[in-house]
Amino acid sequence: MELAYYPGCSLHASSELYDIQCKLVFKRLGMELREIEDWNCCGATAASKTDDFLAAALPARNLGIAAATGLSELVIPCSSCYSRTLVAQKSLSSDPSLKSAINAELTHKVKGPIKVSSILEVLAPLVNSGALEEKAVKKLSGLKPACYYGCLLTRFPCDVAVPDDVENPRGMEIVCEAVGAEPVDWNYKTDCCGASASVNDAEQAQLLMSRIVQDAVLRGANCIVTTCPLCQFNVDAYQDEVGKKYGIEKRLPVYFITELIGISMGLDPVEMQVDRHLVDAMGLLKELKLI
Amino acid sequence: MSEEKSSKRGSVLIVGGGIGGMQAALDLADSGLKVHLVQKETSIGGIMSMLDKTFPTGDCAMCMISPKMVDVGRHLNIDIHSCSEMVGLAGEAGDFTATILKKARYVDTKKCTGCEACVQKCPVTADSEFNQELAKRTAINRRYAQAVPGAVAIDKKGVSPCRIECPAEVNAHAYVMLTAGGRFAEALEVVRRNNPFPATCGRVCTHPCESGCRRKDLDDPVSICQLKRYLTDWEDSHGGFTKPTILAEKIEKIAVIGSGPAGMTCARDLRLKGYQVTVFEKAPVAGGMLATAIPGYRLPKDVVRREINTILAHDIEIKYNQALGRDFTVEDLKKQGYKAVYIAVGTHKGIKLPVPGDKEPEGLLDCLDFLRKANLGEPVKVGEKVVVIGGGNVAVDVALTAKRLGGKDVKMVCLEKCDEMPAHKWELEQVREEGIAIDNSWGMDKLRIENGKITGLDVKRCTSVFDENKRFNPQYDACELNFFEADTIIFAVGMGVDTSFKKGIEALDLLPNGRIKADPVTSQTNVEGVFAGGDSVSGPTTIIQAIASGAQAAESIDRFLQGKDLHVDRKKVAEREKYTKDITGIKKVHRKPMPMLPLAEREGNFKEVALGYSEADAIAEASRCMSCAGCCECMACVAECQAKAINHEMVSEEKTDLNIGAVILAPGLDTYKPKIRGEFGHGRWPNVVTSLQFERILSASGPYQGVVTRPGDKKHPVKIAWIQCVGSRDPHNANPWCSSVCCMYATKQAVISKEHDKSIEPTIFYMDLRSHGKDFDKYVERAKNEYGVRYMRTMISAVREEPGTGNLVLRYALEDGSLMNETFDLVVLSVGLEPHKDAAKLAEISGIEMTSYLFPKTTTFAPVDSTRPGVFVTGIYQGPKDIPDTVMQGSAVAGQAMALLGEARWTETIKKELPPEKDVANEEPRLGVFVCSCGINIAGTVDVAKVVDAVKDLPGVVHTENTLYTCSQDTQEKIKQLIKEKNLNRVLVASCTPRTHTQLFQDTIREAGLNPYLFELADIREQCSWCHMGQKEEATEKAIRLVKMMIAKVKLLQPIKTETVGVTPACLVVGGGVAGMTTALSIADQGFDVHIVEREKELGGLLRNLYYTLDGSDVQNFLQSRIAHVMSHPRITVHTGVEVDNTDGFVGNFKTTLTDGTAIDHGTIVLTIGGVEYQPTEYLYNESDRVVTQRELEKKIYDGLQPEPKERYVMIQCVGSREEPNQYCSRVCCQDAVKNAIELKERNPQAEVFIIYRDMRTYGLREDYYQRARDLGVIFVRYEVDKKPVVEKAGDRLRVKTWDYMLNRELVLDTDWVVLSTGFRPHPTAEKVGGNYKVTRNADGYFLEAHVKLRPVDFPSEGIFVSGLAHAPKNLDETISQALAAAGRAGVVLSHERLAVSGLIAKQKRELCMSCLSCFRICPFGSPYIDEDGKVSHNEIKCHGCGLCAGICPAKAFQVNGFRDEQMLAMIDAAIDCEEGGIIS
Repeated sequence: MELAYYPGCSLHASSELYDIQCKLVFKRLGMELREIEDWNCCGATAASKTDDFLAAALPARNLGIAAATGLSELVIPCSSCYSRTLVAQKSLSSDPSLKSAINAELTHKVKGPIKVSSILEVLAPLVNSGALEEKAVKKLSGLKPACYYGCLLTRFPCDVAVPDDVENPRGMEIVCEAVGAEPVDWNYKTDCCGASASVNDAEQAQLLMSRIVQDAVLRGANCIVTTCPLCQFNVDAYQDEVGKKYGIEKRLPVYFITELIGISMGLDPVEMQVDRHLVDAMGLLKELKLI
Repeated sequence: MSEEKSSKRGSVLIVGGGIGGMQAALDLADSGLKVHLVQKETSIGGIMSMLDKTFPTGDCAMCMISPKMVDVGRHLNIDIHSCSEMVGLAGEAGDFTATILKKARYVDTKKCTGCEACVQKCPVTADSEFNQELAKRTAINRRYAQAVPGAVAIDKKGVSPCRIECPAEVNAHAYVMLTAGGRFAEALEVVRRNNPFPATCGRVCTHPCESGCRRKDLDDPVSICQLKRYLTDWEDSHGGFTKPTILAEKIEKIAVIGSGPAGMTCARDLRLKGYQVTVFEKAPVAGGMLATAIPGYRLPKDVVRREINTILAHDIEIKYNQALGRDFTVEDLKKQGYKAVYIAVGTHKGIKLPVPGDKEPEGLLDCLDFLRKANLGEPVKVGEKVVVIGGGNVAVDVALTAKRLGGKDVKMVCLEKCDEMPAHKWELEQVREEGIAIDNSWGMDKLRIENGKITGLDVKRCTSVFDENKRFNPQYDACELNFFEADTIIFAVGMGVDTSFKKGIEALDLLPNGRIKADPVTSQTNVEGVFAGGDSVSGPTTIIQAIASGAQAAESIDRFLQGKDLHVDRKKVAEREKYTKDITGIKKVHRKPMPMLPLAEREGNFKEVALGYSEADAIAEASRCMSCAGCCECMACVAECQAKAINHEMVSEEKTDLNIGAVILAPGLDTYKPKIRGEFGHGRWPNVVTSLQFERILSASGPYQGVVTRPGDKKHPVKIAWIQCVGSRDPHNANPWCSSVCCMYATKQAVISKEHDKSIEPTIFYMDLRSHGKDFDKYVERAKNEYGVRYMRTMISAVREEPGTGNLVLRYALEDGSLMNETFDLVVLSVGLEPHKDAAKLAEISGIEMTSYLFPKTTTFAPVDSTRPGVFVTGIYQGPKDIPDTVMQGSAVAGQAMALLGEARWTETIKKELPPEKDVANEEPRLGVFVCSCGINIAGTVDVAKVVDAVKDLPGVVHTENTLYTCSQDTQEKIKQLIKEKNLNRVLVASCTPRTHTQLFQDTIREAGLNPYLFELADIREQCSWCHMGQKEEATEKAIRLVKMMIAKVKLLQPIKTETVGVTPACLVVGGGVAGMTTALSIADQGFDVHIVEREKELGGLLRNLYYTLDGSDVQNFLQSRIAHVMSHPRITVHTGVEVDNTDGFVGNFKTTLTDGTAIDHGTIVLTIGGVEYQPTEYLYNESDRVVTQRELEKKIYDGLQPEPKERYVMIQCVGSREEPNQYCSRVCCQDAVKNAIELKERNPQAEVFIIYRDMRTYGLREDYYQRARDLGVIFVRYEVDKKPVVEKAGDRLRVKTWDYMLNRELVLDTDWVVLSTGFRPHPTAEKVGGNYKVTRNADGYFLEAHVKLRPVDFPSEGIFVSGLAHAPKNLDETISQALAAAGRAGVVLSHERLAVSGLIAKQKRELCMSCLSCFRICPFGSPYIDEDGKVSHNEIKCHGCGLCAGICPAKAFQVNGFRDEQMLAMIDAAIDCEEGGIIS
């Protein structure tokens, strides 16, 4: 099976490891990710807040390219890109004049209903069909992740059908359980980590992060797992600073969901660049004898 | 009443037995119409029965509703159809046919006495719906203690999947549940019903049950198989098997050939039926394959022996070394007198692949032979290199056995690929574990033999085993060859029937493969009287299949010998409906691992590998069962029920047709499912509960016995938060409407929780406080000021759980915008009301139209009429409302049905024919005393025999008896018979509560010709056995005393004659507004005369000032047509311009004189005197013609007002309401403001409308219009009563200044118009009218009804009713509902020719009376009156027997029947005498 794949800027820069992991893991699961050609930034960070037309036009170009591949599903691992693309797709379908105005300028027109999927939307059915468990030979016993969805994955600025519970999503827990981890229930699954504010309002971002890390620690989690590269980077990079400031002693490695699946499939942690996290992510896996 | 035969039916169908449905049922049945009450649940009572207390009085909900339920349950003319639904409705108003679908209760309501002994024995528990999942209930259960009907019911959803899968129909569900409860002996008994081999199957069964187990989809299936083994282990260590008694011995002899599982099962089943069975076994041991083929490490041989001995212990004879065809023939058996023969000789011949040469080489073995020898301890030689050919379970056994017998290098070679191998997965696991290699996809080419010895095996690659039809058809690739070196080769490739037995029965038909030909259903062969089964018919299968086969044959042989049909009615569990449980949200708990013998200890021996569960593990493992289908059919309840009321065989669904004249739909409500508002964490955080759950928490009969406890950790919460509007007023996530009741019930819950526990600190988070009902604002003020309930006007954005403590952190914003986090111990979600989940279906079945919100379509002017004539809707089904409004509408639909069917009254009702009463007044007392065991309810604690002994010889006691259930039908008959036989003239029953049972026994003795008041009841259950549980001696002593006291009283009882009075079939309606006219029309339509007295010159009252309704209907049109209707009705007389001068008399017999001298005789009175609008003096009302009231604005709008662009209207709410001294809400003003605001905005969107309000109280479906007003741009600004708006003149215009709490600054509005929303005041004549009729008024001057919840249109004085504004401020639709209710209530009285007067009333001895007037002053019903001679007389008709007069009368002139002084004193004497050990005098 082949899926169209939009990595977005993060996965080609700061979160390159996520890109590598996605490709490795999906390949092992029998799914080829075909990165769409000549994609552009989706505009989630700046354009979407400043220019309504660009907010739709930037993702529209990517959607057009994706449609041209002839594949039926476009997977976008980054929550921010996913949300932006999905919302743009919704505004294009509900506003025909906007769509034709944008299509007029595009080589690859937006057409047809290509399904835009988050990484969890692709993974969860594999749990149900048993395909994931079949490949995940090593059970991640002792790993107690706090599954962190972030604020973008289940909430949209318009009426989009959400494939999971909005307030208490479970998709990531289901994947974690399938690979033998024991996720904890906690409060801050869908709270904002302040990634977009961490440069211009560090104090606020750190306050938000402190709540997330604190609750995860108090709930007995020994790591955080996420699907969003912005959350992952933010909570990973600033955790030490936040911990010192807010008196949190424990540091939790912040894994991508792909890392956990990869480990359970027996993929090489170094190949997956698990050793490139800022909060040490290898130690816990070694301690639990998972690598 | 019309004597002509009506074409209309005199009966009504009511769907729903909540409080509204019950009220309608009682009103209708009391007024001569037969009622069918259809209830989906097992009992009536609805949501109200789940509530703890009710607002604003704080009365116990159950205490209020329970007597009503008893009344409904015992009413001669109300048939309760429980567990039923209406599924069809044909016909038309006056003559409908309704189809009722009744689901099985599995309990006969007539036989069940509700003792609940069965409940104690039921092993299955599930979340209690009644306790909102906060507690458990059993599968057989009564919804709650006071439920009506009181019979238990069984929750049976179908059959659990584990049971469906078992070929022998062993009831896994039942024995697992019993095991979970530690009831091992019972569990084992359940297994043995269908399976005489529990120890064997507990080890080596292929357990298809586990592949059915629903838990496999969650974590792992329950280890059902091994639990059986635990049960037998337990039995062995607890005294072993007890031989059962054979109930009916029969003389017929039966021969069973073969002692394998099939033969032995057949033998045992037939023996249990009483037959004389002999088993003939070819081998020297019994058990067939169990003994000879299954290796001991899996199934120890002593286990098989014990199991066989257990079966033989049923007195079954066995003959060893007896082979059919060798040692005897079937003909021989017949000669010996055997009436039937069962052949189950198995498949004991191993199949071998062709071997070259005619001499078998050394080292080549056959699997069965090999295993037999190994099992029987015969010598068998195994070399070092062993190859087992085959991939099935037998091959596995052979390989593992070969290993144990010394094979060093054991290998399995088979045709199949790894995942195609027929052996079970778990068997192959052991193979790998014990180091045996498996070589897949090889087929035998040839054996290598040297010097007559095996040296190895040549194989070729097998490319596929099965063809496209899945038939065995192996294909090979001859190019790919291999060789396995071996000194021993064992074939394990199949088994066949050894047909040598054929010589013993030549006539028997066999199949070409040697198997016996037998009928798959009956096991019959072609030879009469000869049956066959097991592997010898089916080929090699499983043990459990063989057991099933044996049982099937036993059934057939029994039928054969009894001359019955062998085919019909062979019920199969597998054919029943399988229930698939929803497993979402169930916590994973993995299977208890089975302890295994360490690998090192397995070598070279046959020790059992699986070690068995411990007791704790067995219970824990069994407790993983989710009890999928509810009832497990263990039949423990049947064994326990002494009343023989339980019948598991009831037909699950039954349809019947009912002919009725009208249909009332009162299915009630559902509460909003808070999971949709996930941010509040219900279902996720255990200490977040719904308001209905909190009712159960508060309730004394709830999960925590009324101690305020939080579910998460059972701690007592201190800080409790209520979150309002969960699911209400939320068009985006939930329901757009306001549920009307939540603000008040939250306030009540806060108050009651505080009463339960003073330390509790309640906070209510709300949007608008909607306490719009009568006296509700006062209640809220009390909650704030006296109970310290904190009200916070803010919305909660999230509820988080504090890690570790289970406390909850609520996030909210203050009005100034600052964000708060506050921690609470418990959070209560005030969930809203919504249409019943079946509401849409019900509407479709009933053929009525619905709104888009799934409420039935009704109008303001006809609030209880559906769109189909003759079908009425009521209660919450009609729209969200509270209990009094629901009760009111219950009477209203009753009134409507009476108006439709009045002429057919008394045509379908029944009346009990009673024998004449015996005169016993002058007889010596002859007592019958019945002491009830109540199953074990009483007898479990009180020594009832001792009680009987203690009183049987007391003077006057003629008959004393202990009865199992005194209330049961047969005991009633017995009591009647004893009254006749022994000439008893007084009866005492010592049993349960008089509240529910006195009338039953009174009816019984009346049927035997005794006056009902010659009965008494001593409560030795509630007052003895229940409250003194575990104190047997003291409870018995107390019971004896209670019974002795009652005996003393009973002897002094005298017959009481009950009076009746005639009824004048006419009604006086005081007040000719919309309420009066509506009441009058309904009563007149029922067929009674009505007089309307209106002091104004014209009818119409306040409605004359109203022009259109919220939904846009024209009020004046409606009013004119209603007036015309009234004026033209032949039964209505209108008296305008006059007032009532004087009314005298009592219920049924009033006489009224009007001021114009007209005299009217009437049976009932309805007071509909209305109210007046408040005339404002504030806000410059009298100083500027630009300050108008809403009503005045409405008239302008009606007259064509067209607002200019920018023309500004500022409306001020609560003018003259909700402020001392008028601390009440006028209920209509918010909607009037919204209504007029919408109209202005619609006429000109440029007009500016402001509404300055305190709380917008657009309750119920009116919320839509509030939303619409906001959408249209009406601006709402809130004010507080301590910062009221100020109106000033500003040149030509006006200026309104008000504080804006959002902006936190003053808002100054220059405006063209100020519109004052003025409320209501009671009618100025209310005081005088109240005095006239001796009816009281509340602090605000409105008439006070008899009971604010359950009698909302009655007065304490019988025959007088109230409706409309005279009762309290209300909307037009509510006024009409209440007016119809008053008509219904009046109809109940008027429909009787004579009214019975209770016997339990006060009797006055006039000669003792000194006319001190104490009684006159204290009587709430006005019974004592000053007679013509100036002295006090007593009107017994008005008397309720409350006893106040008897208590207060200094001369003892008043005595209450049944509670006379001498009776009370005798009881006290009896009690004291007992105390001193004396004898009753």
